Amino acid sequence: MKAVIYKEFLTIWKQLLLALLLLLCLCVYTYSDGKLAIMPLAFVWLPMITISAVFGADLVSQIDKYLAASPLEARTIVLGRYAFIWLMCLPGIFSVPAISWFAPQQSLPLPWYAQMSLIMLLAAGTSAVELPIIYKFDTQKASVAFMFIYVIAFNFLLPRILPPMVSWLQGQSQPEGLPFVPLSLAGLGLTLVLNFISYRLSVKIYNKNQY
Amino acid sequence: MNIQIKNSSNDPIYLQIKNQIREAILSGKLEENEQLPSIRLLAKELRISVITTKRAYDELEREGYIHSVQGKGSFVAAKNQELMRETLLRKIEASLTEALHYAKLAAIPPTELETMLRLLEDADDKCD
Amino acid sequence: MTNAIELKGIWKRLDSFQLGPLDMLVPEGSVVGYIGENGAGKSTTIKLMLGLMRPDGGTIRLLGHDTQTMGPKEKQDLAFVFDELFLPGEMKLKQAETFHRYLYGDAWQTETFRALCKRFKLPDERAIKLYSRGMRMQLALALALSHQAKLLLLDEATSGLDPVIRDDVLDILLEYLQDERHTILISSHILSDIEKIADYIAFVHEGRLLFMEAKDTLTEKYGLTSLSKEQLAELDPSAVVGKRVHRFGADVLVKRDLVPVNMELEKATVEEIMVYMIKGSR
Repeated sequence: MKAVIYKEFLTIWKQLLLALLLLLCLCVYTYSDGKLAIMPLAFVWLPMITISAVFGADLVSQIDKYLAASPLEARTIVLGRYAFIWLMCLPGIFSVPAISWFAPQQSLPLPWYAQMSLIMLLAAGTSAVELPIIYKFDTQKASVAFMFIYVIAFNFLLPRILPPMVSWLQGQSQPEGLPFVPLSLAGLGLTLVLNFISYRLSVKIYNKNQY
Repeated sequence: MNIQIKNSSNDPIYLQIKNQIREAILSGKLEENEQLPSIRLLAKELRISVITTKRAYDELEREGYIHSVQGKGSFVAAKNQELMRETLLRKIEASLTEALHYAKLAAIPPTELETMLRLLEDADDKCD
Repeated sequence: MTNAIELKGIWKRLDSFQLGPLDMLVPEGSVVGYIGENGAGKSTTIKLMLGLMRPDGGTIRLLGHDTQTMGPKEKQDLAFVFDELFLPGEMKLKQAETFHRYLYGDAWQTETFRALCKRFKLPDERAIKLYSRGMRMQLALALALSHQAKLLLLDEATSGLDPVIRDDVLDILLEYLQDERHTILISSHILSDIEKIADYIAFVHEGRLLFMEAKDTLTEKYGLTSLSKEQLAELDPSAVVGKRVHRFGADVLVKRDLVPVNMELEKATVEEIMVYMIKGSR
């Protein structure tokens, strides 16, 4: 599995670096704008970009042919990719405590674990949905489809949902009253379940590949 | 040990090898108990198939010129005096038959042939 | 003696082409030249062996293990060189080495790999995508020979390479064969290479195996001769394997034991046998 993670990193580190730099700039901008709270959401882009990048890179090198003949089993190959993508979810997840430590005045009035759980669900959960689809269908078509979905989601849906949600939360007289802990745990649980199912599905699909 | 393969020859390659090794053994160029190159090394150096070299060695072994030790390799067999003598005798017979044939053509009597033989022997002794 | 490769009743349907049913036995320690036209099924066979494709029927055993149930440890004993190097273009030599160390674990031999790279004079600091075709194949071969594999499969690995590099490759393959537990299956159009080192020739045509014989037997079995049309007519038809009739006569590939004893025959190369068998019978 180390081989796969090493390979992913090797092939797309430049894109990752660019993405991180852009996100950092965005951090600076939003910070100055007082809206740093939105950054974790932006960090959710990272695994999305990663998914497109790694599948795209493999399309060019056709390395799957090489791996098929190597000692690596399908489940190890797929697990390596999943692991790499989960790694890319971490910046988003850990940006939450980072923000509450660095700029507590700009963080959302939501418990940090609730935010982390939400980001985890958004990042790893949507990856879980996206991955089997990309494994099954043409990478290019699936990528385009997903990009489209994200653009719509982030540009149209979220700006409509988030501000009212935020003001509603701020308007809550007793925000502590909401069962955040169970909700967060539910979020974590859902993410894990989604990923488990997704992984098993992806392995099945990948196993069927012939070259 | 020298082995030269001629692709243009009508003899199959295994036969060329076998003949050349046999010659080397009979003429003493390869000594008793001397180790021969492995069939794989021979195949690699001559750029031929292992099956070919193996066949040559198998036949040499069958005819008693070499023997193989499992795990060690192939060695020149102890000089089988009978075998060698017979082979050499046959060669002498062939050469003499040829000499007689030419003598007849040149109308040279056998007695003169004998003289020529003595002269050659003397000259040969002087060279040694 | 065990068989390095055992194909039993293997068949695979692809679009308009069917490979098999195919049976093939390759003894351990031998070199098999796998020949045939483009599209005859050579690559398909090799892909089936390595697991890039699954057969529709039949079994494949490599080094005694069924390929359907082979685990990572058994797969370490297999080495392959395709006609292209399917690795990320960004990789450099050291990175390729690290990658393979992860892939093959304990079986990986760094010293062997480095020595081969040095021998091939592969550049340290250049990305693979900037390698020439020859260098790519050399790297592929170096990688294949550095994890103690017992079976080496080459699929058109030398096409497009100049004769000098091909000669180097041949040397290296011959060294690999010094260990009698090592087996090679090499599919190639460049029959002069195969001619030099193959023990057996397996000839596949339109998905079926026409023959698999010791190369020496082939030269003993067949002969080439040039005849006049009249002489050709006098021959036993079953002696003629293939012919090329031209304005001034005919070039004929015959079975040696079915022609008159005094007929002068030349040695037929593997290439000639292949071409006459395919074209000469049309």
